[in-house]
Amino acid sequence: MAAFAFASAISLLAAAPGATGGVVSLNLCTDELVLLVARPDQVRGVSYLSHLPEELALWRQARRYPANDGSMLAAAARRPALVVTMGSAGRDQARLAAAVGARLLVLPYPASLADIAASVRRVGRATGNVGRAEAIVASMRSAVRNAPGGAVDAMWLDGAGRTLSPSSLGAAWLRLAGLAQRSVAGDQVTLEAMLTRPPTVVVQSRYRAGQMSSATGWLRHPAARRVARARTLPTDGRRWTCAGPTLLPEILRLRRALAR
Amino acid sequence: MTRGAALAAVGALALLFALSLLLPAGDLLALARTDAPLAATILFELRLPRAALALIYGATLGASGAAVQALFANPLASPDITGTSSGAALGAVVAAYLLGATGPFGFTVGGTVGAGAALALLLALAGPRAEAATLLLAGVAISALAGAATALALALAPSPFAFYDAFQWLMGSFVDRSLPQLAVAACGAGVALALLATQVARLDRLALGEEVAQSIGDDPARTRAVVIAATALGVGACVAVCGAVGFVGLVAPVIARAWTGQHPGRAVWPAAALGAALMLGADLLVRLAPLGRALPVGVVTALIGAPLFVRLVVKSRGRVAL
Repeated sequence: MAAFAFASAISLLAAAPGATGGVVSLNLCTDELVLLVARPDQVRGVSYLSHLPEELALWRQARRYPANDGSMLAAAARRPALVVTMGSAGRDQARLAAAVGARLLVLPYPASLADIAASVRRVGRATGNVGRAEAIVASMRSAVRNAPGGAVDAMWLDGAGRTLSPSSLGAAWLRLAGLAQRSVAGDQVTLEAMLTRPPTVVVQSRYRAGQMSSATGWLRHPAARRVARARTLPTDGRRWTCAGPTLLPEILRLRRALAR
Repeated sequence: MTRGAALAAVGALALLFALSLLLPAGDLLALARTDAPLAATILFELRLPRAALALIYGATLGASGAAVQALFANPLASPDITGTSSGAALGAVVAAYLLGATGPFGFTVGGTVGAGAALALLLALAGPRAEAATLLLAGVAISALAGAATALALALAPSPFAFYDAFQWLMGSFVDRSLPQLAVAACGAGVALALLATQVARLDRLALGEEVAQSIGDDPARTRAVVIAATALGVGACVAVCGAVGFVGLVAPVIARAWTGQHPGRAVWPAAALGAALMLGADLLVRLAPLGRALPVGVVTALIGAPLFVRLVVKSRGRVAL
């Protein structure tokens, strides 16, 4: 019954007169890709998280467009030609998108730099902006080509001691900055482990650093001050949430900071 | 409990506390030779708060569990089963994620208010001497309500990662707690234990019935108020700092009552000692288990306590008409 009511609501929206076309993104990470690849006049909506300065580096750009709650109903209200999301979408979502005359593009969660390049290209093809997509991919290729030969022992660090797996996408980006993410069991490090075996470089995420929580409280532990004996490079934590193309300038900045 | 048994309990606790401070010893000893100040930092700023919090939290859960079981005249009553820990978690989450009061003190006030509200609600729902089924149902209802409200508070929190953060914290852990956090938990727990100490004899008399207690000159309503306030303060402070750790407040009093001839009031101190020992032991197990990663201490206590809880439920099955 609920599904029927939902489909009816979508059909009504589809039948309503108004502008058609354009792209709606339903996910923070696809927001990034759409904002980078699509032309400004194509974007019809982004997820509400993109409007938050604490979540997306491109928040100013994102605020030019209406925010949605990530649902197909919210996307349908914008009568898009293309809906972009990430992860998994059932057949129902594709059917609902078709009901409003939109194509649904579901990008996979990226696990490597190649996956990101593939997603950028797919958004480029779907929005008719192949050239813009290829320019981003070319920048990524350039960063890979110019990556430092050696890598310094490093640990990416966020609140509560969360860190990255050496096989993660984030670690692949770090490698481009000349940093080798250290392996930590469970991808979470204790202060004692940090103090007894400090990495050469700590890349410290500044994700929501101004907002106290039990996780950021960990970074303020009195013993954490001793961790500063390792060289600490602060990093914009927002860019690591999706580890997408907006990390590229951050990686180049880290590379320069490391060289100093 | 005889003097010999008390001394043995204190000795066992001291041994567990020392082990908790010193194990694993390899890195610490090596560091003491090369960088003594750093070794001292690890010992006093990381391991001491961890061991002391395990001791204090376990003692608080044991003592308040015994007191609450005496109050409700029911072995199934404990801070986690009755929703007190869930209430404390809700209070701390609201204080931290919605009100921004995330210093140790703000957390503790939130936890204490939440725990107190949950216990008061339990008393209102189940009554002062509830049947096991009524108590369990009321506890389940309060836990469900507090859980839903916690989820709502996290859903409304500014950070989309609040769920992950809070989930990790609520699973219970003593890792990387600081001396100021220890001070706050110790203050709350200390006052709670001192208050409960004044009620030991009254709880034993209350077990004989409210009329008997009143005829001796006790005020059951006052006893209830003191136990509720002490439990709320102690459990609230500990949950706020270390997260919710289940079953210690159930297991320790049940075993302690067997030692004290089923006198619920006299079981308060043995339950505190046993609770502290259980918590220190569970934390040592977490630290030394060769799993390559740290388990939340609440997982270990649940694995130990859940079978006992099931046994208690099965034992009470024949006696209770649902």
